[in-house]
Amino acid sequence: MLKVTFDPSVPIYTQIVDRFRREICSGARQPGERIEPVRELAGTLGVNPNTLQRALGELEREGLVYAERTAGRFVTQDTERIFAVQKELSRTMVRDFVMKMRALGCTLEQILELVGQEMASMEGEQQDADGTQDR
Amino acid sequence: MQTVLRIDDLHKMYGAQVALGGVSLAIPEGRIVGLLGPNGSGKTTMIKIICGLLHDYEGDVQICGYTPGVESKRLVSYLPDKMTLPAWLKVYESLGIYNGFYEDFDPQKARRLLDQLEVPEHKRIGELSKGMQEKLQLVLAISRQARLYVLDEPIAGVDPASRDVILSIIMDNFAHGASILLSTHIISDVETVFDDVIFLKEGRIHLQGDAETLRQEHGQSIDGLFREVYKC
Amino acid sequence: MLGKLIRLDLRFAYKKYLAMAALLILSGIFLPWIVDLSAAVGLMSVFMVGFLIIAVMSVYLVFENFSQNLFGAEGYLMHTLPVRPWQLVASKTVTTFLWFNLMCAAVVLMGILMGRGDFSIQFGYIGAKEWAAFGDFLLACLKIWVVINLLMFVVVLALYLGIAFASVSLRGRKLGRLCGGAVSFVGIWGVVYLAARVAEWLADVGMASFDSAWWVEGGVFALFAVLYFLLTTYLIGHKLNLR
Repeated sequence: MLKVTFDPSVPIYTQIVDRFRREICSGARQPGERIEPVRELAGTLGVNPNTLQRALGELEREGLVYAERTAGRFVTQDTERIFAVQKELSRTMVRDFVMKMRALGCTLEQILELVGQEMASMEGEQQDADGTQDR
Repeated sequence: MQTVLRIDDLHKMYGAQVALGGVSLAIPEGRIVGLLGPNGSGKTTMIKIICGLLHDYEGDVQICGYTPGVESKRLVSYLPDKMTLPAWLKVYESLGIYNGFYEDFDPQKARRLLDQLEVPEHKRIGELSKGMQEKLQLVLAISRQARLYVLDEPIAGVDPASRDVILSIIMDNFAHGASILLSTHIISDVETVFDDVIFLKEGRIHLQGDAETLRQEHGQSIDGLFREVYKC
Repeated sequence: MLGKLIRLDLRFAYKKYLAMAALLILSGIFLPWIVDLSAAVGLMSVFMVGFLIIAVMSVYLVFENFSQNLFGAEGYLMHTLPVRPWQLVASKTVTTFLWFNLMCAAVVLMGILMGRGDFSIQFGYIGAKEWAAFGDFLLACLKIWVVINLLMFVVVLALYLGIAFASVSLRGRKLGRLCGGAVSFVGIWGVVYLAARVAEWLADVGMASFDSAWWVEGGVFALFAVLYFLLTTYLIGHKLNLR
C-alpha cells in the first residue's frame, strides 16, 4: 500500500482537492470513473472521512466530480471542464515557475532554451527506458 | 444529531492536587477527536471517568445521555494503553470473552482483522510481542459497533511501519455514526485523521477546535501547535 | 450476565484450585504408605494440619484473585464490561463458594483415604456418641456445613471489603493496604468475637442447645456477610479508582 503523505501544516482538504485535480487532469482517474466510497478512501489516504467529504464537496462545486444518489461519486464526463481545470492548473504552475526563474535572473530566451533542453533530455531517457524494455 | 459525549464542568481532585479543574466539552456523533496533552494533563483521568473506571468526581458526564455505568459501558468501546488481558489466555479465547459480554461484537470481523495483522489466534497472549498484544487489543475494541470509541495511545507501542496499517484499520472499521476519542502524544503520525482536537493542560482545556481551522489560523500542523503550546 | 461472569471467574481461577484438590487427594492416597499415621500423631491431627495449610493457601488464592482481577491490570477489562458492581462481587463470592466446598470435599476425601484402615472406627465413634439415628447425623452435618459456609462467607467478604477499601484509599498505597488489612482483620475477628459473646449469652439465657445456637450464630454470620457484601459493592460502585 502506497503511503500518501499530506503536509499537516496546511489544511488537509485543500491538499486532497489538489490531488484529485491532478489525478483527473492527468487521466489517472478517467472521466466517468467511479470514486471509492468515502470510508475506504479515507482509510487508504489516512485522512478523516469528514475531511475527505469536504474535499469531495469542493470538487463537486468545481464540477469535476458528481454524486449519484445511490451509486456513489463519479468523475465528471465533461471533458471540456476537465480541460479547463487542467489549463488553469498548468497556468498556475507555469506562473510559479516563471516567477522563480525570473527571481534567479533568467531571461525569457534562457527559460525557453532550458525548458526545451529538459524536455528533450526527458524524452531521450524515456526512449532509452522503452528501448531496454524491448530487449 | 445526538451528542455522543457531553461533559459539563468536570472536576477531579486527588487530595490537594487538581487532576481536572472544570472541563466542559461536547462531541457530536461521527467525529474523530484528538485528546492531546502531556502526562499529568488530565487525559488519563478524563478517560477513566468516561469509561467508568473512576467514579468519584464532580460534574456531569453523559455518554449518549447515560451517566457512566452499565448502559454506557455497552456503548463505549475502550482501548487501554496497557495490556489488560491475562497472559495465559489464548487469543481466540479473548474473542470469546468479548463476544459473550458485548452484544455488538463481531467475531468474524475480529478474526479477519487479526488475520490481516498476522496475529496468531492459537497462541497465548503472554507469548505475543508487545506490538502484537496492542494489535489484539485494538482489534477487540474496533470489532464492536460502539457509539464511542475511546482509544488510549493506539499507536504508541506499535512499530512505525505498522502505524499506517493501524490507522487505516481504525478508519475503515469503526461503526457508522460513531465517534472516536483518540488520546495520544505521537501527534504527527495521526493528526490527518482528526476532525477536532482538544488540548488539555494541567487539568483544563487550553485549546480546542476543528483541526483544519486550527491549521489555517496558526499556519502550522497540529503537531507544531502542540509543541508551541507545551514548551515550558 | 452473572452466569457469564461466574464462568469467566471460574476460568480465571480453576487451574490453581484443581491442582490443590488433586494434591490433597493424592496425598490421601500415598501418605499412609509413607508414614504410619495412627501411631505417632493420630489421624485427626494430620487432618487439622492439612486443613490449616489448605486454608492458608486458599485464603491467599482468594485474596490474590480478587485484588488482581478487580484492581490490577485486569480490572481495566472487568470494570469496562457491561456488568453491575454487585455482579462482580457476587460472581467472585460464588466462585469462592464453589472452590471452598471443592476443597473441603477434597480434604474429607483425603481423610477417608488416609484413615482407610481406621476410618470406620472414627466414623462410628462420632456417629454413636451424640445422635441416635443416621438421619439426625446427616441433618447435623448439613447444619454444620451451612454454618461453616456462612463463616467462610464472612471471612471471604471481609477480605474483599478490605481489598476494596485499600484500593479506594487515596492516601498512598502502603497506608491504604494497612487500612484495608485492618478492615479485614476487624471484620473477621469482630464477628468471631461477637459469635463467642452470643454463644455465652445463649448459655446464660439457657438456650445453649445445638439448634438455637445454629440459628443465632448462623444468623449473625449471614447478617455480617450481607453487610460486607453491600459495603464492598458500594465501594466498587461509587468509589472505584483504578490505577
